Amino acid sequence: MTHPSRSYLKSFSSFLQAAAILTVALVAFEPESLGQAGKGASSNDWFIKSAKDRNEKLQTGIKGGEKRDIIHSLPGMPIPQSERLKPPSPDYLLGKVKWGSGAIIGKELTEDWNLAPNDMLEFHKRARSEGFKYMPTQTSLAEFSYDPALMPAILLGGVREVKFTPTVINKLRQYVLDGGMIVCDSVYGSPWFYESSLKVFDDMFPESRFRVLPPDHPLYHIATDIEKVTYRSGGEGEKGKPFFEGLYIGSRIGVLVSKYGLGCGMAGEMKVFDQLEKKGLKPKAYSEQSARQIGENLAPYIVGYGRVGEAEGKAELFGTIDQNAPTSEFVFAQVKHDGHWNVHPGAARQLLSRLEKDSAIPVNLKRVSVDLERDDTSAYPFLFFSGLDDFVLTAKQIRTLRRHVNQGGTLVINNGLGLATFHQAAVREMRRVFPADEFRLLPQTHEIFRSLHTVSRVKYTPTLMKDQGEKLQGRPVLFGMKIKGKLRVIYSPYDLEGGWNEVRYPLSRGYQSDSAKKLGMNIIMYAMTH
Amino acid sequence: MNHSDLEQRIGAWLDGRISEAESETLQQELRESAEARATFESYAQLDAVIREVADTESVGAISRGSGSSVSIPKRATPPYARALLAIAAGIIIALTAVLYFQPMKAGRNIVRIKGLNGTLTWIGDGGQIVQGSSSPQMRTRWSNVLSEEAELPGGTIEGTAPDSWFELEFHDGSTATIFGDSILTFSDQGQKELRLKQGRFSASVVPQPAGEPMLIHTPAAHLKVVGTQFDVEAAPESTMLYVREGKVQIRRMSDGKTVDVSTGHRVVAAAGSEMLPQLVAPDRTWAQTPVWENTSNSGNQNLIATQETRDYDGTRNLLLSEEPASLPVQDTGYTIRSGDKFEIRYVWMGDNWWTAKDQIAIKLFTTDNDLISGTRTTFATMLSGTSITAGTYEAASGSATATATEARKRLFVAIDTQDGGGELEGVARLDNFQLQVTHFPEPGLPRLDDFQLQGIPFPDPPPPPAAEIIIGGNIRNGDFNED
Amino acid sequence: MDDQSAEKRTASNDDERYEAFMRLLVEHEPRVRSFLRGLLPTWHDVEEVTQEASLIAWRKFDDFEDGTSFGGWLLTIARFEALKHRRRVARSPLVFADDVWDLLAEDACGEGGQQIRRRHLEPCLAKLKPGQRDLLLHVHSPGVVMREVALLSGKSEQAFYKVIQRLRAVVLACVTKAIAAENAK
Repeated sequence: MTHPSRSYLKSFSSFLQAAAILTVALVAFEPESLGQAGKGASSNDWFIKSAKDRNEKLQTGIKGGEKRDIIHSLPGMPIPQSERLKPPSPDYLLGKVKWGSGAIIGKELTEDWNLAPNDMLEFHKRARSEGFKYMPTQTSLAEFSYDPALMPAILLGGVREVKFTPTVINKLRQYVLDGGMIVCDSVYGSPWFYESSLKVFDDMFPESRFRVLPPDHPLYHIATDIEKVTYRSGGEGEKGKPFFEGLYIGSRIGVLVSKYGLGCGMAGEMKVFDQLEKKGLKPKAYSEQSARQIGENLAPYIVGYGRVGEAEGKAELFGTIDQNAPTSEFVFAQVKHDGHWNVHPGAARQLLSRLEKDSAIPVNLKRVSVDLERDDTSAYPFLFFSGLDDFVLTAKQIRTLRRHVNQGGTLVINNGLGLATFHQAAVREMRRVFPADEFRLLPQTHEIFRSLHTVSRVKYTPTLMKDQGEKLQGRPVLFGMKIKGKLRVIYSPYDLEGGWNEVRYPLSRGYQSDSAKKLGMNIIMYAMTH
Repeated sequence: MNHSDLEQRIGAWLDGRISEAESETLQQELRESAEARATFESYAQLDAVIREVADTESVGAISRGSGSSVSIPKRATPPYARALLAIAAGIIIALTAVLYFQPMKAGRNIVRIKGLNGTLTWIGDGGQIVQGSSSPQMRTRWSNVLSEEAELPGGTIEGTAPDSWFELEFHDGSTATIFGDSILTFSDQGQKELRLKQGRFSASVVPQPAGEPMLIHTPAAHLKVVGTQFDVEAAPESTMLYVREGKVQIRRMSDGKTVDVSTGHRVVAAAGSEMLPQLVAPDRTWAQTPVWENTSNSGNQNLIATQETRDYDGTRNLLLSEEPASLPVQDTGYTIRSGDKFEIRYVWMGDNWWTAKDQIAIKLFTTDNDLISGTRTTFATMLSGTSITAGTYEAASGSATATATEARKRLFVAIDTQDGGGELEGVARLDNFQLQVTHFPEPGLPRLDDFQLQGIPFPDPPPPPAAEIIIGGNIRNGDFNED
Repeated sequence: MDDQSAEKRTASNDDERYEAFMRLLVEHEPRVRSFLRGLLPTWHDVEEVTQEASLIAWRKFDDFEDGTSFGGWLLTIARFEALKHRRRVARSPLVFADDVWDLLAEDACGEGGQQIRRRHLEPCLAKLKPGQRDLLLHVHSPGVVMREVALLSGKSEQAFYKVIQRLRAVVLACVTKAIAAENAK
């Protein structure tokens, strides 16, 4: 029997009294269907453990102190030299976090955090068979180290409302910003857990929002391609597609929320759904097969983007510009929009450092963020617009961009990670901003490819190389729009920005570091001299 | 040490309202006197036992204003039996404080939310007030009271902005919708009863059980609805009722006068004015027609724009007149590009006083300031040809290409008439107007529009240009049916 | 409790033990709550500690010897848990000094002194006017905040508290008499 957490169980007799009341009440008054559309009258209606704890020990085959570089060699993804020198990896991959309270029901100790008690056991068994040799572990919010280097991801599962104390909220936030990942599994699809976890984490990160993961998100493709899934129950509205919501920090998912239960599917213990349905509830969960498939992708995602988290996680200060003291320095101004805009924190700085070294341009190393609704963009001749998924421009933002470009400013748009969702949005929105102009591919002979460095052949990221390498043949792909005969708007459908950071972004379609930096510097140089 | 003072202090401690100073005094007493401690313990025990009784006996009790309370009587079961009951049930449910203090009627849901928009306030029977707002953003929300498919017990829904609306569905399928600044209270205890305190309301009511019509109260009138579709607008002194289908009985509150209002009729119930149902013909004026405007010199927006009579496909059609008083124009919102090819298609019919040589003339134009009021330059006129068979609808079409002169300007469309000689009295009808554009780009370097992020990046040859619909069907009111 | 030994038991054995525990708990728990009420500052604390004590008693039930006083055993656990809890509770006028605490705990644990039971209370409650009875029960209902009721009552707060206090005193006097009468038999 595991130790219950510090939060207390209610006294038994008050249980009994309540049960008696409820039983009597249910007899005296005809029970209506429990609450709204299968939600239950209260979150307690969902509070059933799905199975007994198996408490198996995983055969490790590794001695306690042994550590090794864990980046699993996914096909076509050689490990860069710089990463081989990094410190060894942790023993843990996805730790299960104890939260909430518990009760003895029947004879089982049933606790909020452990309703699918064998999910992590099975998850780690499978991950192990794919070469990710980690140990399952449990930790409590009080004992947890909150160090992503020791525990790259944590799992929060449950059915009732989640609540954290302010101290824990601060610690969790810092954990994620430092590179950690939180996975929230609404194990039975209880709306109480699902909605409260969305709210809690949304409040925790006022700078970011939950977004539905698009079908070409790396999570759905990193090990196997998950195009279609099946649901055990409740998933009719998803039409066979997986549904996950993620809160991005930089380009990675900082908090992942699964509206449909995963844990029981991973553990292969699905009987509890029959029980829930008999009670009139409407559980939501993936089928066993799909839950396992998702788990198979989750492990490499955590590993792959964990490193990204470390690299991007270093605190970055945005600079400000003194409007009254115009500077001859080059200022990298990044545009805020209602999609996820801060895709690769730290990247601009890397580019700017290199630019400072390689050129004679005085460079301000701090990037500046620009709000098109409010700010005057005349101070920033160079605007950089990057994103990860869908976005929509307001009428005011459209007017500001038009004015910026008509007055001689340059606008560079970058498809962070090279996903389809952003590409479609960019094409659509640019059509709204510039309805009468069009983007054309910049020919290899264009001056922009010679403005600072000479760029004739480029190196793509492994995923892009695999997908399109043959067709693209090493050429840089930049589209340009001329306003009044001059090149003013540049769009890169493949990720330039990610390449400026010295870290590998699994499944990103873009340019490798050296090529990306050269292209970035050339673009800036061209913009400043035309 | 006054005994009653001690009791006061103990009471204050039990209630959690004791001050520091009083607490010090109390503690001193407890230190010094075993009797004081015995009294303290007695009160503490009493407190616990009263709470035990209160807990099991008065669940569901509410205090009414008068001071009496209503409680659900329980058969007192001995503790042992209760325990076994629970064990037998196998369910032990963790308690929350809410369970102890719940209003009586909680839990009976009578409607389901079918749709909602804008800012709304809902006040449920239990007194809880919920404010909701649904706005079309990518944001995922967590509101679980005011959301589609949520169920509600009886209560009051209030729309608080002009674009608010709220649609609910009763268990029998009857639906009701409020629009804009409106307040609707609803309940269903076998007979549905609604109170529209103000605002606009529309309902579609399935046949109600005999003797239990849906009742609707407004400040000025009472309505009885057996099964029908209707709209109601309630103002403090008058109520407007329009019955789309079925029959509604309305009674004016000022004098009790009652009339039956049947399909297609409208009546206004107000003290001192005649309450006579009037047949409403579904004509729409320019003011009532979205997207299209009457840009003739007269600019009269009250002329009839569309009608359902003499229709082509059972829906509204555009009424055209040779008179200069009426000239339908639309700002398409589309920016012209050089090389754009425009194609139009529609059906039309010559009606009264239309002569053999009169034609429809579709004109494409730009203005000097990209506004509908600017100076016009027509760059294409497409004639329908003369009517083949008078009095029946026929199809017409045309096309035009934009040149560099029109490029970057806003596109406007006018549906005009061209007189064939004779008088300017003819009337014609037009329906299912469609305008599409196909852009033929200049040859050159690969375009972003042809680029494929996944698949073949630069297809060669590039895919043939596709037509894009600017006006057609319900896009920009091409079928003239938008309300 | 070790999983191994638990697994060795048969299912029916488990059921019996569980039922026995429940029976004892239901019988003795009210006493524990009364006891804790006189030690801990709020009902919230009382609930928490009661839960803890119940859980520990369940876990240690194997150590409990049949025939010894379950009530006393449970009370000892509760007192220990209350002491642990007290260390975590913030300073407030509701939290008594250590020495006062010890005195109260000692007195309450003693076997002397009469326990007020429901059977004493109910007839006394019945003697009140219905409005008074309902009011008294209402302010003692779990989840009810006395101050809110006071504010809604239409009386001034102080006047309201005085009313409640008077009702308590009346009821206590009646209960004390009832207990005395019981003992005299």
